Amino acid sequence: MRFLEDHPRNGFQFVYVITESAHSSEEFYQKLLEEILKSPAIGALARKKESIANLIKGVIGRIESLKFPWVEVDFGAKKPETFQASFEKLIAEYEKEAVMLVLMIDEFPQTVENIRIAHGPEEAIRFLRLAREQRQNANPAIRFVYTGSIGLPSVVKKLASTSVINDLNVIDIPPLTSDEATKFSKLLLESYKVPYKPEALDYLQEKINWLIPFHIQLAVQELIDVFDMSGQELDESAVGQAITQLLNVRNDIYFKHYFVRLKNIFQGASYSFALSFLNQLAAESTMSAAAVRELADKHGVNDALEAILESLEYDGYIHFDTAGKIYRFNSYLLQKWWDKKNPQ
Amino acid sequence: MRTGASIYNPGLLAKEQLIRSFVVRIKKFEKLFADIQSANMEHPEQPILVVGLRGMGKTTLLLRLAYEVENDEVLKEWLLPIVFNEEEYGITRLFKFWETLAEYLEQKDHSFEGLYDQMDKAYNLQPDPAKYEQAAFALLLLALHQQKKKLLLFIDNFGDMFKRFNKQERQRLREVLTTCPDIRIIAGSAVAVESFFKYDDPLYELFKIERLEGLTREETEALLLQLGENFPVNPVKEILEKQPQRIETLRRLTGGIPRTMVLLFEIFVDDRDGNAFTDLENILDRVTPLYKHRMDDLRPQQQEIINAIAHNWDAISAGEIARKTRLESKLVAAELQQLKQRKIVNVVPSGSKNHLYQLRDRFFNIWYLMYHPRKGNKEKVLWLTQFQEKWFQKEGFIQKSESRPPGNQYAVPEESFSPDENESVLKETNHPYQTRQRPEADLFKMSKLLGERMPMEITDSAIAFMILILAKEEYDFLYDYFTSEKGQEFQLKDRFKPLWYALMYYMQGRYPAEYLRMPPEIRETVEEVIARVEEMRKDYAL
Repeated sequence: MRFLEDHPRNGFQFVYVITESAHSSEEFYQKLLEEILKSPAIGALARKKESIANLIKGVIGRIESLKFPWVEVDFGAKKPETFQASFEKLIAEYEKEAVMLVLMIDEFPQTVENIRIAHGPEEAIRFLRLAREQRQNANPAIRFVYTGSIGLPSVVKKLASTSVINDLNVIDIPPLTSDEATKFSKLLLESYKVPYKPEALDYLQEKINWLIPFHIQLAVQELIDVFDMSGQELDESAVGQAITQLLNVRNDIYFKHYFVRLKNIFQGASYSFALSFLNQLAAESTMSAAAVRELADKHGVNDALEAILESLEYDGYIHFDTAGKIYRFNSYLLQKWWDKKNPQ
Repeated sequence: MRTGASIYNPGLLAKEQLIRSFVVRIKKFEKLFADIQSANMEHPEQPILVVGLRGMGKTTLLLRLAYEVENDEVLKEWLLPIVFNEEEYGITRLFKFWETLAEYLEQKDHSFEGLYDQMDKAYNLQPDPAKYEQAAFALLLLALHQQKKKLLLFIDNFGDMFKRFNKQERQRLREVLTTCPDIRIIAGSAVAVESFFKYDDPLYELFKIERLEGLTREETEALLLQLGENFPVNPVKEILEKQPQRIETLRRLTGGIPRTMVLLFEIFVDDRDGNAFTDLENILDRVTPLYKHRMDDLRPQQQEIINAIAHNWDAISAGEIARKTRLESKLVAAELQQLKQRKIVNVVPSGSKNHLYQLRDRFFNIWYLMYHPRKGNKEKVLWLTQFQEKWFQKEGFIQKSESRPPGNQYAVPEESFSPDENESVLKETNHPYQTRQRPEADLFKMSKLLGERMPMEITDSAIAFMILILAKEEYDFLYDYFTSEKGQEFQLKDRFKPLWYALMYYMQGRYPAEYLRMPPEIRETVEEVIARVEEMRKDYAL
């Protein structure tokens, strides 16, 4: 998202805003407006349209009155409008022929969760419905991209029917390709002036298997530590050592949340099945669909099996290898950590 | 020279003095400084958390980095390093954090004068905490932009400060750290990050973690030599020449904590003719008030549990603790959970439900064994220091290991274990340490010859004998030897603790949990023993 913001394609303007600490609808719209008003696209629009220029003046006045309370802001006789109302006006008046304005809203699910906790589920539902209406009423030259470290569907499911978000397209971010992962690892190692044998990087990828940038970063960080201790050019044995260190108790922080999260996703028999399944899968590396069904039978969760597996796949724990008809952990590192910990 | 106070508070050292005395953690320093130097802070930079036990040198490292930024001709033009006090009791809310920062800035650079007053004025007009926080931060940013400066904040004990913020403030701080390119934090913490960030905390995973481990042998020697430089004749040089094992033994027992190493230096100055055990007794005297206070802080049942864990020294299960303390298992489990949360006890996962427990601060365990002696406890520590001294005392170890390839860097040369002249047992077996040839005598012959004369004292030849047994994979033989009636009577497991754990390493298939009980302070020695065994297998094609 940051890359898009810094390197916009022709005809596009990207606005990144993180709304994690917003605990009310008004705080959310304030944050959104603060960032949108910085966009050159809005500046250009304000020069053309007096209504937009006035709207911006009003919003800035309100923000300034909050941040710099001693600054005298003249709102005239009228009561200043809410940030929500200003935002709605802005997206309605945005010009069709203007550049495409993409609003990238980070940690949106957390905002919904914050509102639910602070003001109750009804307010959170109202907020979600409002956002849907705004998306539908917005000028076609405005696009919304939502992201977050917790899944929006699971937050919404707790509150209402997922119909309030069914207009959103889900975009999967796949792991890096082998070439991308190599480039990324090289960049990291070279920036720290750490020498390596090319085959060490191949071996690293073979070990990590699921090439998500975060795991690559973790492994490279350990590799840098290995180099710091040994002073030797990194080779396959250094990779082995880095992986061992990575699975050490000191790195629990990076993996433990997968285990803790299970308790939030599943309850009762579903939880105990999910845990047994992952424990067994971690120990055996693969499990056939039949073996999984048998285990589900033991836990009495046959009816819920499909939903449980879907959820585990969706949350990034496992995948089903259709060729071999077997289940595997997505991440070798997580599998090894899980097997070592065998969490109870 | 350092004063007692500066051992605990490096901030009291003058800038030039701290820079001069900074002789360890060089690689970590260079790595972190390269990171700072290469970051132009056009985009938000990832914050860093330096994690290390108390006394590991976090504060010194943070100060050293701050000084380097101040001294760097390029960086000092736009980057202001701000070092927070080690304890910032006044910072309980996020807006107080910005206020404190304003005060530091005013002290550091006159062009920021008046910033705190502006914030104060804003508070009078906008006392709502969340709104005032935004105002205070906006004022700070405005001042930074006006002065064309960016901030590098060095905050020690970050967890203590952070845990006082409410959830919204933590979320807000994360937003600031992920979006604001004007401020970067390099924090320090004595506890691992998970102890103050829960997995769903906003700052979880945001920090790049840099760990400070115990000092290596080379670093310890460099530190001690540097400390001795102020003396007309450097007392450390003499000890390094004549008794290098004294230093190495203590380094391992204390976990290589720099602060303890400085205490060790003071002991060397006072008692140049001592040995590792007397040095240890001296160090323990100095840490007694601290550790005694730690015990007094615990509830009686927790004290009982700590007592049981400490006396056992090796990691112990909850069931074993319950048996030793006569407390109910459920109660023990609940108390252990609390002790774990308070970072007093560590859990050693055993792959089953019966996890093992040990004291987190390993030197606290050594102190406990020495200061709350039960039958034979003090001897256990004495035996370990004797074993380690034997292991290191041959000059060849210290010198030759320097030139060995990394995999073998801890391997002990053969000369270290040539049998004592007075001991004939191993000579009779024509063992390979003398001949460097494949031993003609088999173990049966050896054990028969040994008979009643099985080595029970910690001698070079006893160690050599056991290493040979391990190299020959006669694990049962050695196991019986340790666990026999006589072995138990002579407490062989304690006398030859590193060898016992080397044996358990090889017998993990049969006794999977035993190797996990190993106290971390002997790990390095055990690994060296194992390396030595492997080397011997190769050398003699055993």
